[in-house]
Amino acid sequence: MYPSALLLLLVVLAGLLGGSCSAFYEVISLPSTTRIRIALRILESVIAAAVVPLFLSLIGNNEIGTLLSGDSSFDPKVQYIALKTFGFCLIAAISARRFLDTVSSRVFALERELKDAEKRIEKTEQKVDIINTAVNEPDESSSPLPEEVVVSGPLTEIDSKVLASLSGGLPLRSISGIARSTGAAPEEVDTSLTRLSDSGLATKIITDRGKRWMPTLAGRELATDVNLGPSSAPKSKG
Amino acid sequence: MPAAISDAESNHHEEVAGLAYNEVADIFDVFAEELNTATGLVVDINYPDLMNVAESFAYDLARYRSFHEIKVPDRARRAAYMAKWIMRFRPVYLVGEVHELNESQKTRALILNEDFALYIASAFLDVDIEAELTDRMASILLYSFRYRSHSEDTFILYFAALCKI
Repeated sequence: MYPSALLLLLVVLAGLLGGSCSAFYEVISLPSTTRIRIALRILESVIAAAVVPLFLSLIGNNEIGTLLSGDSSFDPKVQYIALKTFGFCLIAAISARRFLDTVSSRVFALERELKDAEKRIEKTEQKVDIINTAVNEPDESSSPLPEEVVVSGPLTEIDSKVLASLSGGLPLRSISGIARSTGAAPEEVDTSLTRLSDSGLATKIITDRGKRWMPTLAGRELATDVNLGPSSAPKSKG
Repeated sequence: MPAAISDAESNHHEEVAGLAYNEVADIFDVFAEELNTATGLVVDINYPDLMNVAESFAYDLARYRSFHEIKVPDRARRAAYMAKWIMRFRPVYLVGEVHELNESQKTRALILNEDFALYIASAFLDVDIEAELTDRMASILLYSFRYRSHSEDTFILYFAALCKI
């Protein structure tokens, strides 16, 4: 007998036996019985037994594959797996309704878990891309990593104020925000930012809100220097 | 959670929470990219916590809808509720080890959720906070978000002021 035929026979046999057992419990508790009711109960058990291979795959048991790929039903290994599967089918057939509800709930939950996992994987891949970009391709115009600072003379008073403003509060600043903080005119701030950018102390990025400025690492370090004043010169590197 | 809500109210609540979740998740993507550009920090968001934020936000909106109150701009209320729950559930977290950061990054890493709350408020208010706030006010606000307890009423008042009504 082919292993697949053996499996089919066992499933049906388990369904019939389990359904009969389940129907028996019901029959003895009722004042009268109907043949249709008993037949439906047995059918339900056969269906539950047929769902056992799906249930086994959900819990990670793949022995049915081994059984189906066997050459002969007389192989002890095949027989052992067949007996175990028969046992599963029998239990499923006896508790048919509850078993079917459990398996169907598990299948739907698995589908939701897979969808959530796919979303998390997509987000993780995006984060990995960001990390790889930061490590392998530093953006020369906006990287906070140490940069070469061009010495172009001491910082003016307005440059010092603008740099201090850039380094406090929010990560990104607009010209009008810096002007509001320093009391300087927006045009003065714009000119100062250009000087700071040329000196490697500040850099700008374009966002959906417009141009935004931020200090470079060198600029942030200079801004935290307690001796920062109009006569201070940026430190040169390299 | 409301004691008894109809199916229609339940569906509306889920819709509001779902929209808020998607909107905040989209804003977070931009925030994370800009923060990475500005400071080098790599951050991520805990999505179950974000869902908690969105659900609580939706409940707040539903609860206050039925009360008579002074005419506060809707965007100020929405910004206040969202900021409150972000700071309560703190969904944003740092990817990587703190000890690998420099001093300015460490300082920034402490206030990730406060930064994000302010960023979200800016988006909900449709006010450019980076242009409106002075450094000192921004620092006070971030410090206050982190170390002081506030009700949403405080945030509503301040955000309504930012709307220049």
